[in-house]
Amino acid sequence: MFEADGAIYRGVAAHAVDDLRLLLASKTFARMRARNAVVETDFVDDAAFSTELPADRKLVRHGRVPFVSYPYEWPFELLKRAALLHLDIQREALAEGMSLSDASAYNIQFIGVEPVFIDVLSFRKYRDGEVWAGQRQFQMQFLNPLVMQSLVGLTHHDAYRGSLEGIESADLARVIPWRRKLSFNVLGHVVAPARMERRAAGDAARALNDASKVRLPKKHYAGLLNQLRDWLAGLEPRVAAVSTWQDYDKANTYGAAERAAKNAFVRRYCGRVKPGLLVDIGCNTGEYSQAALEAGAGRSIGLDLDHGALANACRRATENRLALTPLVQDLMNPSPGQGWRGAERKAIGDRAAFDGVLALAVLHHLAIARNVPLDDAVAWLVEWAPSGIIEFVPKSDPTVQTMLALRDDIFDDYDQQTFEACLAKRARVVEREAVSSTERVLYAFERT
Amino acid sequence: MWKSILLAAGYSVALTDSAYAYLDPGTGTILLQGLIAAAATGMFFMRSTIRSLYDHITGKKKPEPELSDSEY
Repeated sequence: MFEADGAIYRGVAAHAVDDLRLLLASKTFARMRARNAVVETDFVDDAAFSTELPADRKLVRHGRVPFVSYPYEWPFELLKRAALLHLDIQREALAEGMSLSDASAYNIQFIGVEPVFIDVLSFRKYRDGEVWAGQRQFQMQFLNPLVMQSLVGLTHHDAYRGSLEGIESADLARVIPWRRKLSFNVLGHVVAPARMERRAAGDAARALNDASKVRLPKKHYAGLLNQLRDWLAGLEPRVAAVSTWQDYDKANTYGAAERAAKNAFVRRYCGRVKPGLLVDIGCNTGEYSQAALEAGAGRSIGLDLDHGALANACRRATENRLALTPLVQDLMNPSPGQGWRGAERKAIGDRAAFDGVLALAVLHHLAIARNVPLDDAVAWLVEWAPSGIIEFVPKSDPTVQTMLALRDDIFDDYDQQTFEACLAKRARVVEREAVSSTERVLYAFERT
Repeated sequence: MWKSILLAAGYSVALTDSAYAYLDPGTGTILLQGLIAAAATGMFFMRSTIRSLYDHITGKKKPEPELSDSEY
């Protein structure tokens, strides 16, 4: 597998070529391409490339996804969209005599907030009576995390990142309140699978033997997919309490004029630099990513920890058709390299080169709330991209005052002068503007 | 006897090879699918019948999820 001219090329083994041809010729694939729900895929004329491709392999070309993200980073709404896409693809493929060999959530990527299926090689000819071999994987990687957040109110991201393979049905069954277990869907898709798995483990040889004999008629297969889809489509995250930051853009320490000034500052930066790929650190509801994208940024990846805010960011991106992908990230503990040899899933900072960084109203969260030394926090922010905007929030600001309300103020060096000195070590300031009556100051920098 | 054991082992290996190439399908869920298949009319058919009856009674119209709906 290699990369060239913005696309991905891979060799496909002979036995998989027929299945791939079947897919590319199908109506399902054409419909998915029309909706941009699957990556562009073509066979390539071998002679055009001087490769050392073994004789029994054919060359295939894929469109490339601009920024890779993983299921344990997707906010609820995005995981839900991915799940629905997967089920719809399975249903359409089944109707046309194809099935998917697995149900991995890692087969889906996002462009903006739209899910895209990337594993075209997992399609194969449907064999009459075949079982849905991917059901357990679908449950662990798509269904259970969504159900957990919807019925139990627990966010799944920490567990999902920890286990990579998703949430086990047995674990989920244990935490669902018994009253919610009385639903047909929960019983059928969570409790029953967990029970059957336990029973099967009790007598493995016999279970394996029975399982290998199971035939699932196509109609029941389709019915199963339909019912799952119905249920999933209606799942919403359980609103426990109002999350701290979700309504930030409606009720914060800024007046309207101040917000407009901040907005204009962001637009000026983007109009000047036109960053192709922007990272919005502490993106909240995506208000400033929107400003950035409308003013010349190509694409924005938003990072935040507040689930309510991220839900609003997804909504904003959908309604305004923004090239914004909001992701769940704890800046103090960002996604590391994971999986086999710690390299299967890349660390978030290693996946792409960002052209610009927005660090608005976030520095005080690192330097005060989480005790990161100011110099180190500034260094980290500047490392993300060759240019960007950092907002300095002074101690006198109400938000910082709240942070310090119940704590000793040990932050002797947290002031504007020291901040400017830290920034000057690594970058030059292109533009500077105080944007609020509480003396918050925006700095547009260029790394030196 | 050895022949039938080997045959059975060979059969399950072949099945494992082709269908379960990259994942552990989970014996439990497959057995559950077997139960689904065994149910005469299927729990799902029953449910959709009950649902359409309910909708008819309450006069509600519920559109079937469109395959080409891009609601993502």
